[in-house]
Amino acid sequence: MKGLGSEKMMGESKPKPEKAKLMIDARGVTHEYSRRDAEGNVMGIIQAVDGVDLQVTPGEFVAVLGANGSGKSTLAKHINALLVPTEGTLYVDGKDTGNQENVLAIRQLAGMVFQNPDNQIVSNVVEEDVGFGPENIGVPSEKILERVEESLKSVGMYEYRKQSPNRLSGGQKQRVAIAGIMAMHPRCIVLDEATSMLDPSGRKNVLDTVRKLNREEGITVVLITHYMEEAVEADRIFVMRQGKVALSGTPREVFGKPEILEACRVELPDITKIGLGLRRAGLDIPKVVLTEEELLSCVTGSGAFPEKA
Amino acid sequence: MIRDITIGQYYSVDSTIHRLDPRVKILGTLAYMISLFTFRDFAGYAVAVLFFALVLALSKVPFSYAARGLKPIFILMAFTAFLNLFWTDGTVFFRVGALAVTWEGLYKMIYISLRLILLVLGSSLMTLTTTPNQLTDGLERIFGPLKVFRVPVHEMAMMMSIALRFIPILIEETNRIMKAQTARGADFESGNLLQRLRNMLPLLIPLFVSAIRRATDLALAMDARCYHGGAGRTKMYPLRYRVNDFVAYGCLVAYIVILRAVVWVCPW
Amino acid sequence: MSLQLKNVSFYYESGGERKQALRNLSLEIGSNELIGLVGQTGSGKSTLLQLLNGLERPWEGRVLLDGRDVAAKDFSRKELCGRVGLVFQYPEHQLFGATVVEDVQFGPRNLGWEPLEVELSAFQALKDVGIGEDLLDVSPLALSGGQKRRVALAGVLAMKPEYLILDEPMAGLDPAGRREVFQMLLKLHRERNMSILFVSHSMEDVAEYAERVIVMHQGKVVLDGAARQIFRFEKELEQIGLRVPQTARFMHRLRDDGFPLKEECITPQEAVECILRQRGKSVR
Repeated sequence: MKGLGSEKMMGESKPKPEKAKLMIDARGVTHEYSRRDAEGNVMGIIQAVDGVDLQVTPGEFVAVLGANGSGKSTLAKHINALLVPTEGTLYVDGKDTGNQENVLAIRQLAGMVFQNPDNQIVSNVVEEDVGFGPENIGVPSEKILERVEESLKSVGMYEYRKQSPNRLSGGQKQRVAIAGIMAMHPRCIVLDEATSMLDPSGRKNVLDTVRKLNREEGITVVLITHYMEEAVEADRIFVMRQGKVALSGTPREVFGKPEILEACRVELPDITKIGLGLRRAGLDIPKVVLTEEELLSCVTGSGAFPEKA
Repeated sequence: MIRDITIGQYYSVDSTIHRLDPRVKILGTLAYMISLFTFRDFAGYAVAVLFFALVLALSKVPFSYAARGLKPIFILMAFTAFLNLFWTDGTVFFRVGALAVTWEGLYKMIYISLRLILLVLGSSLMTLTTTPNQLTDGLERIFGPLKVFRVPVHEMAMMMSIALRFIPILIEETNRIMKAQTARGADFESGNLLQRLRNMLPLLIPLFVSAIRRATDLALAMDARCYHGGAGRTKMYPLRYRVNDFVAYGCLVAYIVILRAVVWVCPW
Repeated sequence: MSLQLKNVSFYYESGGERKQALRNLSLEIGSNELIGLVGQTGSGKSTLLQLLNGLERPWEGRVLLDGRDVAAKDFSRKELCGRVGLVFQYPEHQLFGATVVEDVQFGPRNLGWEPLEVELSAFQALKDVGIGEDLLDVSPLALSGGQKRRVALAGVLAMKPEYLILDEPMAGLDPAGRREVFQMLLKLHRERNMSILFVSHSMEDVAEYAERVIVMHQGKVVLDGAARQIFRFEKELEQIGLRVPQTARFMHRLRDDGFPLKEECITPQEAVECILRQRGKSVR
């Protein structure tokens, strides 16, 4: 591996092999914008994202946690080339998002689901909305029909294809939005707090759908969320704080650092909290417990039970 | 009241008329509406009514449903009818106090009402049998040639289609904000006109803010889905004329020919 | 002192169909309660909230405040919405004032209070929600998401309600933001003796903060009692599409494995104490 500096100097024309292997490769990504007062004078410069390095391999399921305003949404918008780094570089499948010519290809490769289900559906009919993306990238008509059918089926919304999105629940609308992305044959989906406006059953349906796409079709998933239980099953977690990646690793590694998490205003899952509480009281329990089953076997083995025959 | 707004009401059923190309329906409706202004004879109206009845029957839309479109214009109709009935000069045949009804007035009232009714029924039959998307597609194609003159036809069609999508959402939002402000003691119903207008601000400002927020969100979402204007764009359901559409154009021509012939033959 | 629903039924019409939102529902909210209202989307929660505040009138049955029918002629709508404050979901979407103070004064002014009283109550409400004096003359639209939410809450608190009703007050906030909102509600509950009813989809939040839990299903109250009692009914709740807090579910499974669970544990803290206590005994 060469140093970052020389990497950047080489320009976009010669993508390095190790770059192409990564789905997302953020190198020192910084995004600044200036805050202005009512008269338009610059009041200060805010670094929403500040020197983020983040690598995601194809097929990975990655969760990004962090408090409101920690920069996770700003970072997400970079993956889709909706925003371009003011410093640093971000490659999606080896393509530099800063290069204007790559923008459409990147947006087709890395789809994005937003927070508000209503504000991302374009059409009055479900299937026509799913067809919107393929239409934009000039897929021939017959192929669009095929893609729409297959992607609506993959999110379990095929029987609603002729309906108006206004009649769907929030979770169903988000699944339509996911189908709209799948119809563009992406390799990566970024969910920007896409479950935060949903009720628990809607959230579960959306997450099940995303997990299925990840498992069965190898779609890389970047899940930005407030909900710890959604992050527990991720391959890796990134925790952001004040525009920087404060912590990253497997769920087990990340949830094993409660002090740092607290500083990031991120909470532990309840099960992990119980495990930690017991461990601090001197019980023989591993540092991080993530699932009910684990905690169950730990507690059973820790002597908390009355003697069994 | 706000819940009664019905724009782009589509009656979902499979029929010959529903399956027609939207261009046929748009141009046909336009031709039909113009045709209504070319005569004043009852014979002509008989033909026009008959033609409408035929299309309605083919469309499988129940008459009662189509007639709903008349409700909002009822007052307008009653008003014009009233004006025409009492304020037309001619031979008086009936008198109520100072008001005189003339034969000419009666005649005028009837044909103007008929014209109005057919205009509304005709156009609502189009929206009832055509989805908003087909409608915008049709308009985009019909006005497509104007692109040569740099008229942003695609953009206008896209705007119309998005507007149609967001109207029900914004109506719902209006209701919600209204309720929330009512819960804070707001009063939208009393006071004089000026006070009422001022009382609307707690409703209008959040509605405006919300519309802008939604527009920004949607623009971002469209960007994210590779939207970059009409260039290089394909269509999921491209408009293509089929045999039925040509038959429909034929029927339209036949209607106009028959109409002219009847009006010419029967001068009443 | 109570807010009561007596045999209330409510219908709404959509697309020519009439659907029943509430079925012969009776409920009493006493003074100084802290209630979590749970139920699936469409179970009638929102309708219930709107009835309590007089935004909707029951088709059948009565709404009583201190025993007086709110539909009675001598009961003004303003009195009801002043005494029973209703905070909608995402209340920050209803902010409109040119400044924070102006927005918060909207409610009390509508109630026809004296200008001085309006000002005082607005200041107090903003103080209660933790909005500093430096933000009073700022446009509410320039605030951060969490601040907007608090200003919107202050807008209802300024009317000095005896009952505060909130529809998902934590929706869209991050965990720390949720906790702040709840701490604020707890404080109001304790220091002002305010009776609070909040809707939530998060059973963990309900377990942590609510003293009493009301469970709705298909327009009826199906369970009503202390949080600890309600979450015993894991199976029953699951049948109507709800779940119990993660902690309670874990403790139930522990019990099924033979752990002598004497009382219901619904928060992680309780679970830890309970297990430790049991262990202390069995180890000795």
